[in-house]
This record gives sequence, C-alpha cells and structure tokens, in this order.
Amino acid sequence: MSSAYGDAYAVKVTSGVLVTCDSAAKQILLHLDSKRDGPYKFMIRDIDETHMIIKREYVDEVRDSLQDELEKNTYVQDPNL
Amino acid sequence: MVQPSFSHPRSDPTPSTSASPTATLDTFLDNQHQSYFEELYRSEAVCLCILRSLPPVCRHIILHHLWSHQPLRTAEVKSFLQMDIKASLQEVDEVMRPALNRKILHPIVHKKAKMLYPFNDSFKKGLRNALTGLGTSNSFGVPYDREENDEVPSQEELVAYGEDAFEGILKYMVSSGLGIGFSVARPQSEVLELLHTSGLMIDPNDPTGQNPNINRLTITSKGFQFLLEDRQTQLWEILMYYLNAKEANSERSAEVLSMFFSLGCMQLGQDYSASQSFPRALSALNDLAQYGFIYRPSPDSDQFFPTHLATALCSGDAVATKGQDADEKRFLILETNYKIYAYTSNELEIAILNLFVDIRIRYPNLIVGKLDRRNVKSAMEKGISASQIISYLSSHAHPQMYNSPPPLLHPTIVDQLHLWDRERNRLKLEDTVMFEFFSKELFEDTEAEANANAALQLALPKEKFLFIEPQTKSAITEFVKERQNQLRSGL
Amino acid sequence: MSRSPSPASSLDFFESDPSSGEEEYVPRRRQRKVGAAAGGSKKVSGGPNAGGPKIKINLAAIRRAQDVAGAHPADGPVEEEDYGVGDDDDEGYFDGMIGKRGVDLSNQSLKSDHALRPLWVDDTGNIIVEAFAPFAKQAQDFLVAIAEPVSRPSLIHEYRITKPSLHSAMSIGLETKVIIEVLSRLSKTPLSPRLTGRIEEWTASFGKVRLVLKNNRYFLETSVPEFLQTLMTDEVIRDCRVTAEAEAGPTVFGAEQTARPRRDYAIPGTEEARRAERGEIEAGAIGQRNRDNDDLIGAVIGIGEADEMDDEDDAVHSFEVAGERMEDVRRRCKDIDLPALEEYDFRNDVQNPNLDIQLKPMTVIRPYQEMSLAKMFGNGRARSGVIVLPCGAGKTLVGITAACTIKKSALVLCTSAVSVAQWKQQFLHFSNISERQICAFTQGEKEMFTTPAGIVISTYSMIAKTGKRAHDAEKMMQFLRSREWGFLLLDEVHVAPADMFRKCINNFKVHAKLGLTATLVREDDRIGDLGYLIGPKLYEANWMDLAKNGHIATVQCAEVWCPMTPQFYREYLRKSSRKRILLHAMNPNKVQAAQFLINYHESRGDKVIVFSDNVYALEAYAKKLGKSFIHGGTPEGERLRILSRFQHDPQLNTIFLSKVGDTSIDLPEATCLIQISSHFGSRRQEAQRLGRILRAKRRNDEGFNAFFYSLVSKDTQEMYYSSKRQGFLIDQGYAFKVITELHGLESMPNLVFKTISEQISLLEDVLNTSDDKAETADHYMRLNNGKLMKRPAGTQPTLSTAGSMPAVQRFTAPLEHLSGGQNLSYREQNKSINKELARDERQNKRDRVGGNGKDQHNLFKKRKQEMDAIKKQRATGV
Repeated sequence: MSSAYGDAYAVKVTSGVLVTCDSAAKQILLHLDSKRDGPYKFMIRDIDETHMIIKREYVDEVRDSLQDELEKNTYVQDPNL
Repeated sequence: MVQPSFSHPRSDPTPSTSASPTATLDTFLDNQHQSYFEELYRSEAVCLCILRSLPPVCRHIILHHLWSHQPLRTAEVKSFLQMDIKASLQEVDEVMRPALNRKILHPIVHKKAKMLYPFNDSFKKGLRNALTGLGTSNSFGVPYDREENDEVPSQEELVAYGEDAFEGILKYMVSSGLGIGFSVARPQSEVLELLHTSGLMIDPNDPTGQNPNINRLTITSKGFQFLLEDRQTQLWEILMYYLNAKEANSERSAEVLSMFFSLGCMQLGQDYSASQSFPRALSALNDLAQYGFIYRPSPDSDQFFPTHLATALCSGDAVATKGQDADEKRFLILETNYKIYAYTSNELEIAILNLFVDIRIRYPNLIVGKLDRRNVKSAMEKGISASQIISYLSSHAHPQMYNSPPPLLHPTIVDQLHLWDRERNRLKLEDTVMFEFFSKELFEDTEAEANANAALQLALPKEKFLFIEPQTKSAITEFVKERQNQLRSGL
Repeated sequence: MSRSPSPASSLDFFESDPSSGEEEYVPRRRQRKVGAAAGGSKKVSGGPNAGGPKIKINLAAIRRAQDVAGAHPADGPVEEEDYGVGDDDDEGYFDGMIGKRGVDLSNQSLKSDHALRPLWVDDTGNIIVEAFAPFAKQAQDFLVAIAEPVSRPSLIHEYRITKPSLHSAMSIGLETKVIIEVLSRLSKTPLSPRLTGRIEEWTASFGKVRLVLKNNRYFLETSVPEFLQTLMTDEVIRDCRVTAEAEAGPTVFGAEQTARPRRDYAIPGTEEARRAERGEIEAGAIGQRNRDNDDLIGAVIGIGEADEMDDEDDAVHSFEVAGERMEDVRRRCKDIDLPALEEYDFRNDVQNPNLDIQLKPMTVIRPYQEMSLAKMFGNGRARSGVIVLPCGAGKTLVGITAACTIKKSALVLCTSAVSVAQWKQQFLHFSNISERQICAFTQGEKEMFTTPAGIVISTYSMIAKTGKRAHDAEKMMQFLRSREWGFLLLDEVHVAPADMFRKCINNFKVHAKLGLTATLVREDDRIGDLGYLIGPKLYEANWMDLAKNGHIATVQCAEVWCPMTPQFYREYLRKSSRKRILLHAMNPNKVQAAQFLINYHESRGDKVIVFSDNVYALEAYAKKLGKSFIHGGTPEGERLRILSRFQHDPQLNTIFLSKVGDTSIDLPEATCLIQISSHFGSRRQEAQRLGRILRAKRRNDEGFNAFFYSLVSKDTQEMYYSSKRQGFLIDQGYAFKVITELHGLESMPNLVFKTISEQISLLEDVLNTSDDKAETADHYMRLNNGKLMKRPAGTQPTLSTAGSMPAVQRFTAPLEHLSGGQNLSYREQNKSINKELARDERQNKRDRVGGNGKDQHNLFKKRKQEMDAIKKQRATGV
C-alpha cells in the first residue's frame, strides 16, 4: 500500500463545502474553475462525477455563476410576440 | 387517448387536492391528555362538533350506541361494519381510531381479542344534551337581549365585514413581501405579534427573533405558503396559533378551544351576549374580533355577532366558509400556453396570483397573466413549492376547466412546474470535513463510527473518502487517532 | 364578492357616498379610479384592524353604497377623457403588483350584460375572447377577419388588431364603421376612443385604390379625387406612370360601378352549389346563402345590410402604370397608406378565354375550406391574398376550387418537382380538367397547352432561374410571359426566398393571386412583403378546431430531455459554438433515445420520420441505427425509391430526412415524427414539421394519435432553441410534454453506445470532424445552390443494429427471390439499406421492362431524360 506519508494508516483531512450535483452541473463548475486563476480558484478537491469540495468563501459566487450559465440555455419569450 | 408514458411515475405525486382544513386542530387534539378532553366535553357544542369531525362510519357507530346502557363491544362494531367475525382486532381498532383518539371511547380489554368500548361519560352526557337540547352550559351561546335601537346588520353585511377584516390581514402579509411600502392598513399589534410568533412573519432586522419591531415585519416562506391555503385551513391555523400562544403563556386553553367550537355552532345573523355565552373567555373573544370572527357594535357592548368566519368553523364544508359561492372561488383558467386568466377583481387574490404569475393586463373583472418561469422561480425563492402552486391553481380552477377531460390542470404544466422546482436545486451545498484514508480497515471502522453518531454525510468506499458533519470533526478525529494507534500496534 | 364570471355578480364595485362621516368604515373592494368622485372617502380600508378601539360599522353607509351601486350598474357613464393606461394612478392597494409591462384597465366600466359578450379589448388592439361565451363562435369568425390570431388554445383566445389585419378585413369587404360597431357590441367594456381612433385612421384610405389589369395593361383606379391627386403627385408613383399614351391626364371612365358587387354564383363543391345544380335554388338566389354567411356577424350583432352599403359609386378615375414597375407601385401605395386592392372581375372579363374546368361531382369541400373561399370571392370578384391552413388541411383543394371558380388560365407555382407532380395529379383527381389542358414546367417536362386556356404548374426555382436557359425552357418562359393569366396560385408562399418570389410574381401579367401557406409566423421578415406582393391574409384556420373535427390528426407533442454525457458536456463547454452544434446533436444519450423511440413506435405499427437539420448527425444516426436517409445529396431516383418503400413496404418503417423533407414531401403514412436536430429557433419550421404528420391517413381511426418528439440535449443551447421553436404551436393549443426519462431504455436490447468506451470513440469521431459539418443547414443543398449533386462518398448506412427485429436471417440468394414481399425480414450484413433499395428498384424495373408494355418504358425514358438534364445542368454550372 503506497502512501504519501509512507504510513498505511495515514489520514488526510480537508475542510470545505461539499458540492453534490448532477454531472452536467459538475462539468460546468469544473469549466468555471478552469477559467480562474490561482487564488481565485474555488475548487479544493474534485471527487467524482457528481461531487467536489469547494472553498467556503466562494459558495455564493459559485451558486450564482452556475445559475447564470444555466440561464443561458433558457428561452424567455419575447412578450411582443 | 393513448399516450405512451416513458417517465417514471412522479416520485412526489401531486398531493391530493388538500389535506383536511382542520389538520392543525387534529394534531393539537391528538397530543392532548384525557383531562383536557374532560374539560372540553363539558361543552355540548364541543361534543357536537367533535362528533361532526369524525369519519361517517365512526360517527354512525357512536350515534347508534349513544343511548345504549351497555358499553360498545367489538362484535357489535364488526356486525355494524359487516365485517367478518374473525376479523382481527386491529381492523376494528382502525375504524374506531378517530373516536379513541378523541377519548370518546375508552377501550378496555374484555377477553382475548375482544374489547369493550365504554363511552366517556362527559362526552355521552354532552352529546345527549346537545341532541335533546337539555344542556345547561350555554355552550351554544346565549342570545343577546336586544334593545329597540340596537343595530342589526344583515347577513351580507356581516359576511362583508368578516371577509374584509380577515383579508385585511392577508393583504398586509402579501404587501409586506412586495417591498413597495405599505398602502394597506396595519393590523392591530396583537395580530402582528401572533403572526410573528407563529412564524408567518419576521422582522428581518432581528436575527434572534426575540426583539422584533412589530411594525416592520415581512412575510416568511411559511407565510407565503399560508396565503395559498384555502380559507378554512387558514382560519383553523390562525386559531391554533392563537391557542398555542395561550398555552405558551401557561394559560388554560380548553376554555378558548371550546369557545371556538361554540362559535362554530352559532347562527349567522343572530346576536349573542358575550358575558353569558363565554363568561370565562371574554378576552379571547375580544381577540377574535381582530380577525373578523365576530362583529361587536362597540367593544364595551355585551352584544356580538359571529361572522361567517366563525359560524362555518365546524361545518366541515370547506367551501361554504368562503362566504361565497363555490363558483366564485373557481375563477382561474389556465391554458396550455401558460396563460392564466383569472376572473377576479379581488385585490387579495390578485396579490396572491402576482406571487407567481406575470400579470400583463388587468380588466375590471379579469386578470390576464402568464405563468412564466421567472415569476414562478421567484415564488419558489420565497419558499413556495411547485405543489403548493399546483394545488392553488387546481382548487381555484374555473368551472369551464372541468369540461375538458381530466386531469384538471394539463400535465404539461404540472410537469413544468415541478421541473422549475427541480431546476433550483441542482446544487446541494453543505459544510463538510473530508477524511481520506489509505487503509480500508480504518476507513470502514471510521465509517461505522460516523454512521453510528449520525455524523456521516457521504462515504465513497472505492476512493476511501468519508465526509462528515463539521461539528463532529473533533470527535471523529479522536476516534481515528485511537484506531490508528490500535492498528499500528497491531491490535 | 367582486369576482364576476356571472351576470349576477356584475356589480363590481361600490361607490362610497362622499357624505359619509370620517370614522365610518366602508367596505370597498376596489377603489374606483375614474374621476375624483371618491374624494371624500380616500381613507384606506382596514376594518377593525385599522383604528383604535373605536371600531364601528356604519351599516347605513354600506347600505347606501349598495344602493348607489344598484342604481348605477356598471354601465354608468365613464369619463372617457380620464382613460389611460393606468400609469397615473397611485392609490391602488397593490401598485407595482402588475408587472412592468402590465396594463391596468381595471378602471374600465363593465357593461351590465357583460357576461353575454365574449370580448375584452384594450386600447392598443389586443383582444381576449372567451371561447365558451355565447356568441363566441360568431365573434371568432369576425375576429379572424379583422385581427391576427395570437393564441388559440382551448378556452380563452387572444387576437390582436394590426394595420395589416385591418386591411385584410377591408379587403374582404368589412368597413370601418362595421368593424367598430361589431367590436363594440362584442366587447364587455366600452371601446376606448384611442382604439376606435386608431381603427379609423388605419382604415381611412384602405380599399379606395384599386390596381386593375385591363388588356394587359395595369391601371390604378380610385373614385376619390384626393387620393388620385396624392397618387399622381407622389414621386415614386409618378415615375411609374405610363404617359406615352396620348392622354396625359387621368382618364375618367365614368360611372363604371354603380352598385357594390355581389357574388351571384356558387363556389363549386359546396352544398349550395350542389343544390343549385339540382335546381333547388333559383338562379337569382345563388350566393344568397353565402352572402348570409358573409353577413353572419352583422346579422348576429344586428347590423343591417344597409349599413355597409354606402360606397361612393361616383366616377372612377384611373391612370396606367408600367407593368414592370408593379412591385414599386404596390409597395409605395402601401407605404403612403393607400394600399392598392387587387380584385379580378373575372366574370366580366371577355378578353381572356374561359377555361372549362369544374370540380368533379364527388368532390366535396369542407366547411373551413368553403369559408376561406368565401372570403376570397365574397363580393363576386376574386381578391388577391393569402389563405393560411395547417399542413394536411387540404390547401390543395382550396387552390383547385379557386381555379375552378375563376375558370381562366392559371399558373401554379410550388416548391419542388415532387409537388408539381402532386399538384397535377390532384387537379386531375378533383376536377374534370383534361390532361391536355394541364401541363407541368419542370426540368423534365416542358409542355405547353395548346387549348385557348389552360393550367401550367411549375416551381419557383424554374421560374426565377437566372442565366441561360435551355432552348425549350426559354421558349416556355416566353409563352408564360406573353400571356395574361387569370389566376396565379402560389403554394407554400413562406418558403420561396423573397427575391425569387418577386421574380415569380413580377414576371407575369396576373389578375388574381392566391398564396397558400401553413404558417405566417411573425418572426419572418418576408411576411411583411407578402402583404403587397400578393395581398392581405384572407383566412387563417384554427388548428385545434380542425383537429377536433378530424380534419387533421391529433398530435401528442413531447420534448425529450437527454442529459449530455459528462465527456460530451466537458467538450461542449470548451468548444466554439460551431462545434457545439455537433456535440449536442451527437450526444450518445440522444442517439439512445432516438433508438428507443424508433423501436417503440415501429413496434406499435407506426411509420416514423426522423428529422435532422444537421447532415452529419443525420448520416451518423441513420448508419448507426441502420435506417435509410434522404438529404440534399441523395439523388432523385434514390429519394423516390426510399419514399416509395417507406410508403408501401412493411419492412421499412423509419426514414431519416434532412431539411429537404420539411415541406412538400407528402407522406400520409407517417404517424410519428422524431426531431433530433433543428435549425435554431424557427417556429415556422417546427410547425411545418408537425405538418408532416397532420395528414396521417389513420387520423380518423378511433383514438388515433400522431406523435411528435423533439429530442433535446439538456443544458445546451438546444434547450433554448427548443422552447423558442415551440412558441407557435403552443399558441395554437399544442402542449409539449417534457419527458425527462425514457423508462425502459436501459433494458433495451442492442442499445447503442452503451459503454463509456463506445461513447468516447464517438466523441473522438465528432471532434475530428471538420467544422463545416456542424452546419445545421443541409450543406449539400447550400453548396450546390439547391441542386442535386453526385452522391458523396462514404454515405452507406449499414445494417448493423438488430433493433427490435427477430434474429437475423441471412440471404445470399439473389434478391429476385424476395420480390413479392414475403413476410421475411431481409437483412444482409454490411449492405446499405439505400443500396439495397436501389437493387430492389433495379429488379422491379427489369421486371416491368421485361414483362410489361411500352408505357412504363416511356416512364423510365422520362426519368432518364430528367437525370440527364440534371447532369447537364451540373456540367454547365451556375
């Protein structure tokens, strides 16, 4: 069993905000994060297709930018039509 | 019409039109002890109202047996229900459950699998008196000895008064959520306090909820949901909030509750004497005036008129309490193109519609709007759920909507509302502490420990990741350290 | 309370008595904003909540208020001056509640009998109709004549009065006075003066100027001298005048027209016509019924005939305008608000020979077809204009009946050679016209009729073709140009590009023009042009009504949401928008959904058309799923083979079509339509596609439904465009059910792209595809300017999936053994279905050539000629 600590019983602890979402939302988050620079990246850990851990201070921002992204695919009917 | 359905049946089926309007009352009563009922059953009006609230079968059995000197037997219930004589006790119990819950009957184990159900004496006496008119408790109200020039409002006027008073409160609630200042009269402070303690309104500048500025309340999501309820439900909810507030002040609430029932048995248009009808609940009666349940020509007068809000409380017929024809409550046409046409000029109804409808044109008797995504989602932000919107829409559907084959609301629109609801919740965010393990054993032990302490948010066995509630971090860390030591030392 | 769906509750407000004292409480449901009468009682209502302990109902005041309301039922006088769009009231309880775009008209007064009247009309011309109200039917007949239908679902419909819609109304003979009168009678509230003013303004000059073709020369006519002055002094029109003739000034033709024209003949195919034939109606009474129909609204609402009859029948002034400048004239007339009405008094046209054409006795036209024709022939002349009927509702028969009514030479233009053939066949089917009087002008056929009058059917592109023509084509064009045509019939008017269209119209001397289309959707700029190129909209059918009456199929519409696979979505987010199109079109989940739906519908006996605008996706899907496809690159012969197999072969139940199938391929067998990729947000295309299944043969079967699926990749632009596309159909009353999960898909045998690795290799293919493949347009069409080209390489779909069919049975025997269509499922690995069809066809041909007479041989000769012509064309290049 290989370990960074050379210790089979080592445990790594990370605090943050666990994001649970569908895979498309997850992809959007990854994409948003990839466009950010160093300190502004919000992702701490990419866990699997539907989970990631992000920094607490970015929670609202992340939620809003995801909404914005999704909103782009929504058609709002022109009231004049 | 054949339509292939590829979707799973909806996991949360649209709630059946609406729960019983007296749901809050039922919950309250379910939690009361024998002594509370003893006190309640002193009032004949209560006995009658409680009887009315029972399911028909149960009601019939009670009435059937009311004059009997023998306690009710399991066998009798079975034969009454044409049940198999060998049917289990549970089945009988199931039928009689409502009466048992209201402590009308006291079950006694008679023999194996046989029960006796003697009546509660107070109830039996009360109901007998109610039916024969022999009661002495004045619980059906004592008519007021009217003088020559005392005013006598007509039934219509009383209805208008009650409606106006109660809607005034609701309007105040809605307008507080619009963020455009109050052009609606503010209810009295007692009312506001009740709205606050019940959680329907809060002072946004008072995070603790302890020192609210009663004049600066805004509506909460619970409040919005309250607005969408039908009138009967709203009335009982308000009454129960009132009752709970009394209890919280360690006041006896049984007197007040029996007054509610008494009011429910009164006649619209008749005036009553307050002091003789409710000698021990005068202040509560005054409080109810603030909601429009009763009309008093002057506060010091002993004369009062119950309005339709009060007299229909125990009718069990939700529609009648609106003081309107059933048809008038059904004023909404919803088309498949999401257009809503509401035959109303009622400010309150318009304000409620405005919560989730983009109102485009307002004619004297018609509101034209669109159930559009933006408005629906903003309503959802306020805490209104898709199901609540759906139930509001269907309970107010115009008679014309019933002419097309069911379902009443087009499934496309119902689906869309649920989808909009779902759209909001694509991210679940929770504070977490992630533990990464290398040892499967340690992972599993910790998982079990976290699970046992309800600290686990998520476990990914393949990756050997555990996600736990942050407040349990130190405890889990302790556990991990201990296990590490044990494992390292080969235990 | 104050809701008032019933007349009983029409007392909609109380007006408080200004004399009531200060502390009196008055229940006021709604403040009346009109006027300042409410002055003394501005106190905000609050009931017991409002004041301190001194609460008192002044019951007398309530009673007084009720009396006031009773004495002045809502019909009371309204101060019209104060009438506004509610921007100035600041006293309502809930100001700001009505959305920003919202209009508050709650201060309008309701008529006391408003429940009997079906309309609400606002002051900009938006109309709301209670479709269930008494008189709603009549109201709608009236509204469809004077207003644009905006939405017509089931219970409440909306219309909008616009300038063009009023012009349509005028052109079918309704007059300003009548329009306002009827509207006001139908309305629950008094009409706003702003609206009536607008209607008057918009209609003032309409219909007073006519454009007439006489002896092959065009004249502008008017009986109003001022308008003549306006026209004569207008720069543009002056330029178009023909002054070469001796008389320079306007000619007075004299009192040519003394009475308003009336229709005194029957439209063929109608009940009336049949009765007339049987002698049941006296000659003089013909047209009476239809006139009654025309005046139905007037009659119902109580407007006498005399009202609409004071037309100026003074001298008619006219001057000639140059034929080649017709379009300028028309447009200019419209721009200066003097739109020229084009009517053809064909019965008094002695110059042009009559064409002996009648509907066959067995031909019956449906009520709505009759209605649309009544609009066209309402006053005895033929009006030019557009009739809007959904696909499958029998546009062709309307056109043919119109031709049978006019009985002059007619020119029919449609979109493709296939529809030319269909039109010709329909003419022969429905009318008694003889083969020698009707001819087609296509690349393959260039006949001319030799009779004095006849019908020519051609395509827009044949007529509008620029550049050199073959000798015979040129000769044909000469022939067409030299003649005066009584009737020009334009099929699918919305399809032809504007410039092509202009040529088609301006090239010919035409008396009456009729455009046919399924959708005049507003998003289309060209729709405006149609107004002066052809004429106003004469009639627009209600889709739901037609479906209810079984004239078109009922359709269940669904939007299927296919989540993007993470791999595809990852790339989607990172790619340019061009590449995105391919990524969401090729989403493996979508391919699976398509496969599932095809299997499902094939198994229940449906014939399925799959539409894809993206040709790359079209081929990829078809190949993967082993189905035949047709796109711009498919040679004509192969197209016909595939289409005919689709119609007749129980083994071939699904075809993939690109844009080429949007219109005019008539496949009444199709009962299910699946759309996998579409051209952005075109609402017209969506409607057009739906039209492919509206004429389903089985539509009148008990409980029959056609199905229309739109597959959409979730969280992509497709969602946006999909909702946009549905707009038109939703307003017609169609509902798109959203399907988020296809139950049973996972367990389907032979599901394609089931493993991640398959999906990834698909992704690689997509990413390695050149960008131009992402075009949603059928690039074969585009690159070759709409012409057929050699079949591109590598388009062989293989029969690789087993679908829902039983175990594969392989035949290596010659195909001849299979002709006759045994109930065997023919499958051959690695063979193209398209190719297979080709072989089949060859076989049939051989059979026929060998076994049958020369007729069929000719048929093939013809086809060969056609193909040769195509080749030649391609060689010459354009």
